[in-house]
Amino acid sequence: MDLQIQELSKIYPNGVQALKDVSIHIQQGMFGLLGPNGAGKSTLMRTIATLQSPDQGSLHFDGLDIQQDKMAVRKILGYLPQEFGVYPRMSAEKLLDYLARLKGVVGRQDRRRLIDYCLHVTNLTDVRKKAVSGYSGGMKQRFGIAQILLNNPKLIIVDEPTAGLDPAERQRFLNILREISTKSVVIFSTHIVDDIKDLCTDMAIMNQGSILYHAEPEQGIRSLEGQIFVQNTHRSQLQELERSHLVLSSSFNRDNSIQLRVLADQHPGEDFRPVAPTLEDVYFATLQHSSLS
Amino acid sequence: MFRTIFQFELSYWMRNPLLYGFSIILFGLSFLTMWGMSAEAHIGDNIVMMNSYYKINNMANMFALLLIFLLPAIIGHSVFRDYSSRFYTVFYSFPFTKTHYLGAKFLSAFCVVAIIVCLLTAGFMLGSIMPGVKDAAMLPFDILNYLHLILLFLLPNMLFFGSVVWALTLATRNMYISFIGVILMVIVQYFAKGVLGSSGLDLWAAVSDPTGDAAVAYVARYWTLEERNMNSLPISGVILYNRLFWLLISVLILGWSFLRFEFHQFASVKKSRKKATTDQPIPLRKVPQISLPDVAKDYSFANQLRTTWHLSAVNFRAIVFSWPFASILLAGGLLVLFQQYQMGPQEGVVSIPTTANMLRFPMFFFSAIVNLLTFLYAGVLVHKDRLYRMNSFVDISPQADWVSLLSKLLSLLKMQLVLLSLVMIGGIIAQLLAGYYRLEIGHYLFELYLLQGIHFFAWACLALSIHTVFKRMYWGYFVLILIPLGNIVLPSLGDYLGMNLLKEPLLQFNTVRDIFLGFDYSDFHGYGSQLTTYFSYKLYWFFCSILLLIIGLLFWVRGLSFRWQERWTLARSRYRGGFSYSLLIALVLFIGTGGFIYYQEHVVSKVFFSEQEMEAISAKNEQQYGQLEGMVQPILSDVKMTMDIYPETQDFVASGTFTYINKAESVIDTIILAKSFKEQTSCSIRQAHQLLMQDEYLQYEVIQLDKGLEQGDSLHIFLEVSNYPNNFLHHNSRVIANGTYLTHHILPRLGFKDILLRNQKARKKHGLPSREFSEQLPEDSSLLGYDNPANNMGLITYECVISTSLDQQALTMGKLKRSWQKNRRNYAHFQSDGPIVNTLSWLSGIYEEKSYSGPDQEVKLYRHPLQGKNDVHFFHGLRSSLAYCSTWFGPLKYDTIRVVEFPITEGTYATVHGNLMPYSESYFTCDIADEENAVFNMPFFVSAHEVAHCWWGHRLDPANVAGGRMITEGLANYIAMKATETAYDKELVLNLRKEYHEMYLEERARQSNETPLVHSSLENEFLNYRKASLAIYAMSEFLGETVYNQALAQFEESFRHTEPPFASALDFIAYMKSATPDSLQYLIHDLFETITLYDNRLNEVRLVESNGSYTTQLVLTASKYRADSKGKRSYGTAPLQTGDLQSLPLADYLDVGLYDEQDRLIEWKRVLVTNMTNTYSWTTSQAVHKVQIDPHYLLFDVNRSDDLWERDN
Repeated sequence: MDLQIQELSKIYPNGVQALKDVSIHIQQGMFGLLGPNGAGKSTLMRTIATLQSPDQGSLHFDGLDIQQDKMAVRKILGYLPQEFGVYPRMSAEKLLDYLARLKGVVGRQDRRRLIDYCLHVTNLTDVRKKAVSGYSGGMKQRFGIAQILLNNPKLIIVDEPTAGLDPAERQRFLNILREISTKSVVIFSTHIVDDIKDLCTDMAIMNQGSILYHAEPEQGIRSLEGQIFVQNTHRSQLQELERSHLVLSSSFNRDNSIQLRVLADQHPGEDFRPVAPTLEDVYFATLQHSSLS
Repeated sequence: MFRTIFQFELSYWMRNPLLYGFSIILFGLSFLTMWGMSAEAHIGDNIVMMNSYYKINNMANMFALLLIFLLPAIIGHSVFRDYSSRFYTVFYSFPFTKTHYLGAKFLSAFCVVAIIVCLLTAGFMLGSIMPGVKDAAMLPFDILNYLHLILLFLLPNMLFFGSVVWALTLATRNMYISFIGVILMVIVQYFAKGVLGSSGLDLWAAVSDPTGDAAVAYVARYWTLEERNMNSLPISGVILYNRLFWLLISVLILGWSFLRFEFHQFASVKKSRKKATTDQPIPLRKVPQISLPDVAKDYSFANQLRTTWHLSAVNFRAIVFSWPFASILLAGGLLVLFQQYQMGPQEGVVSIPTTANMLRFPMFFFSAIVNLLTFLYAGVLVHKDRLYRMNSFVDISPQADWVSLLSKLLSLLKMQLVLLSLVMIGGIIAQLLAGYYRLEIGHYLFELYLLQGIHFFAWACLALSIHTVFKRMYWGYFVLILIPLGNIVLPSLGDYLGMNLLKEPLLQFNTVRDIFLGFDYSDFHGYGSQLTTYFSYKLYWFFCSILLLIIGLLFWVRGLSFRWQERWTLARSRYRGGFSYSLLIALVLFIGTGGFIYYQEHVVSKVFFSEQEMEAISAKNEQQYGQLEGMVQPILSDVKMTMDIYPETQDFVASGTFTYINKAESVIDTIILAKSFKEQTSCSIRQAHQLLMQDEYLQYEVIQLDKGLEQGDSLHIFLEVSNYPNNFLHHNSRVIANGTYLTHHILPRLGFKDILLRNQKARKKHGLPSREFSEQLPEDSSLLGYDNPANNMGLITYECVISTSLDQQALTMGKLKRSWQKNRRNYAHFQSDGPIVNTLSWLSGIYEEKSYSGPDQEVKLYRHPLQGKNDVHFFHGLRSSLAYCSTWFGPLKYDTIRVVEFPITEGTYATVHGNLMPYSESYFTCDIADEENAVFNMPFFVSAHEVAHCWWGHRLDPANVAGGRMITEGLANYIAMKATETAYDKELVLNLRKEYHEMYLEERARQSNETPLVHSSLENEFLNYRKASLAIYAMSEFLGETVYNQALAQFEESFRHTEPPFASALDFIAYMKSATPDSLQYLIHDLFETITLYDNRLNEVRLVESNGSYTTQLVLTASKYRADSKGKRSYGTAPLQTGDLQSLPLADYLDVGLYDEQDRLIEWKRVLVTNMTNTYSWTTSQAVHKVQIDPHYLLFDVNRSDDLWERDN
């Protein structure tokens, strides 16, 4: 079970190149797509979800040509867009029934069993008769998951689902997603690095329409082993240091001093101390690299 | 802050193509309409000023209706934008007050509306000063008129509808609800204007119509053409109250919405608190385990169909179970019910609430509502997923695009059926309320769900595909509203440009030739042959709809697409395989049926001629045979014929010998046989002759007799006439399945076909010289004899053997000699007992026979078995009138009179042919309240009227020149009134005269080609029937019935069955004059020889009581004037004058009625007035509560409200 994307390009009418020769191979499990806002993540996701046509390139899932055989892909597709709404005055139960019908679940009994189960998994059983439009953010996102499950999808695309969720809701959400990913390809975009670190079996970093980096998270962290150094410094020296070192990130400490994280092949000096690399370092390093080159 | 928002909003609109679209189209409409109408204006006697205030007001309000439907897109959109973009969540936290926010938003949007309104008005202004406009039809340009229009009507109306839209959008934050709100308001407007107005509550209507239209109509109801051309609308009285009332309402609505508004996340603060739902969080420690139940999935075609149905049900429920739709259902339902319950009485007569009536009456307006809702909800359905941002879920589902489109179509159709059901529900309620229990559910279902269903199906398909193509719902809605408008504009544009093709119904979306909104239905033969036409056209539009759906599917939006180019590429990539085949098949079927229908109608058909085809025929007739015009021909004198009617196959064959006699002095050697266009005719002449010409196109045979006919010589022609065969798409025969009614129109006439083109523009188009068509006036004595071909009357002897199928009965004029059966057909032999007039008819149907034996005649009534409700009234009317006429004018020689009903589809009139009186079904379905005879009894009256024609029209048959029919119809109505008075009471006839009086004044205002009665044209029904009978009645009242009727009897006797010169209006007047004393001779001059009206007033009334007797002192101003054909007043060479008032010199008798508290006449006085100001003092034994000038409605006075004084209590 895999998704093969080749040389995908898309230019919007306003001239923005959203996708630039994107090629990537994604296998079963949870795939994290990391990138800043406007990197082209959503365009890529929508293209995979048959909602948009690329100008060039091809996409294959399990041998299916997604562009040519949209219907076949839709049968095994689950999609949760970044933002969605629902029809007003319709309960979760009714809406899921509507969507299950759309997804080809014919039998009335089958639909009922399926919906009951999905509501149970997402813990919405108690509120199933309430209008979804009145749900809180977390509940609405769980409803989104419930609708994904309806057709037992093999290819699941989730676009920045954790944005705006509280930590507990986020954790719950990711748990469900992780569980599903054992039997399918889950593509999951985010700009929160922590989402990826623990859960994803594979990841890519995207910016300005291109895939900059593609590896397992562990592998990325390993590759920076011994190259990350930290220094606590003062604001006045910041500019100087930024000029002489490759600064990945800087953040305030509690005493108003600033901690700099730099990337260096060798120990950059005595004020620096080596630290273990994190996935965040991989992300920043990749973005830095691309902007330098 | 106000300025910032205001400027931002205005600049938003300035960049919005929608504004330009609306403006250009509305400006273009008004500009082109005004220019076109002014350039094509008819110049002549009755000139209509194209830029008169009244006319512009009417047109502007009509076009403004279009803008009203677009208000949600402007005024609603100005706030809705903040909601739909979700920008309000940020925006509402900004530091501005709601006065600034709402004020700036509303005012900027209203400015935009005002700009469009000004452009609309500017269109009229510019159009009226373009080159080519006919100056004679234009008043001097007056900017004040236009300002008046904008400030008094257009802007206040926009303010009212705008405030409704604004309040609804703010309150619900939902766009389409404000569209619904507008539709609701339009229903209210229609209700106010149309329904209240037509049920005698016109003053109520005038105030309660939010557009002010009804107020204008009320004020101008008696305006003559002259007044409509010259007057401007007064800013006072009803118009002022109406404007102030609705301005107040608008302000209240705006105020309410302002007070209610809060900068809040939710539209309704209270509601939102209840809505928030919370749940029990999942314990974090629990890691889910998911194993989905195994369910069957099915993507087969059959299941996609089932899914389509299911989705449509969900969408349908979402539409129907919502309060906006519920309110439309309620308002629409009430309107429909009210219309059905009221059913616009005709001449005071209510029709029985038959199912056909229940179906027909509400449709005119209601179908517009169904269409508007279809346009609106099609948009809502197409854009629904995107509107609620559900589209990604729906778009990625493994369902074909057609599932989505079809499900939306189905829900739309179901919605239409719900709306149409209102007509059935309302109809049944109205029927039960009226105590009518013949519920024909099948008839309801057939017409509403099948006939109307396929009609609205096409609109639904069009609406869906238009909304699919246009990404913005407003655009789709706008374009959709323009299409029915186009259907109306296209034919007049075709007229204007001389492009006949534009008049072709096949090019006007969803129209059917000759069937507009409703159907003619008769109990005799149901819908008859119109269904053939209807279904064939609707098949054509069905294919068009399928084509539209396929196009909609090609452009169906799924996922994200941006530019037109991209959508076009997508559509092209979809156009292959099944798509391309079905599109091609639909296209071929569409064009194929269209072509077939066109061929049938314009090439094959012998009975249908479009207006332009008829025009071409008329022109050719005049070009080729013009020299035959005025050629004298022999007159029909004897008929011996057979008539075989075949209802099963709807055919007939008539044959026989027709004898004509030369009654003119000159010798006739050329016979012009003008045959019917719609029948096949063969003829042979016994006399030696030569065929000069046979014309299949114009249906002429011109024959040269070897020996010319001297005066008194006869000519025998053997004729065989039959219908053209019927075919699949066309019914060529006049025979119908049940209730056939054939008249002499099937037979050839002798002489030039009088189908002259009278429209000068059409004459020019066809290369005919312009020609003045003047009325033939009775003063020209040469027109009163047989040398005038119009006088083709005269008596005939008649004999006919008529046959029909076994289940039907066939009838014609004369005495029934014998009837028998042969070859499973019914035969009957009729023969006239004496000479009868030469109008003939033949009927066949399944009738129930009722009879009544009078002193001199037996009266037989043949009617539909289920329509016996009014039998008693028919007999009563016939009997009363026979008695009245026999008493005054001598006995009638027929021993049998037959009244036969014919279907309403064949006409809505009654007539007399010899002793046969064909009556339309419409008189049999009148609802006459037996208990209280306060209602005008139409069956009685019609019967009395037709009987009177046996004397006035048959025994005395005036020359066919102006004024001729004034005598016969006026007298027939007069006699019917007198018969009514004898049978019922004077009060009933007084009510009828009031009604006629009103109708005369209204019609004279509308028609504005009035002549004095003595010159009234043969076709002018409002003079011949209404004014003439009022004038004759007045004469009879002033002279006394005996004196007057004796004069009539002398007149009749001296012209009874005489040879030329035939009687004319001049003779009629001469006989009246001889019976009239000198003091009343002025009446004849006023009523018959001129158009004379009064403008009398009661200035002052004072009551004095002393010792149980009551004295009424009053001051009465008398004023009389003459009017010309356009209604312009004049007062003669030596007018009387009092203040501003003028009058013709007076020596007139006026009646003044004094009434008591119960509105009963205490007494009335006839006074002679010679001055304008007159004072009177009368003493009565009872207290006077009301004084009225002319209480018997004998004189004509446009404004009767100032002829009346009522005591305040």
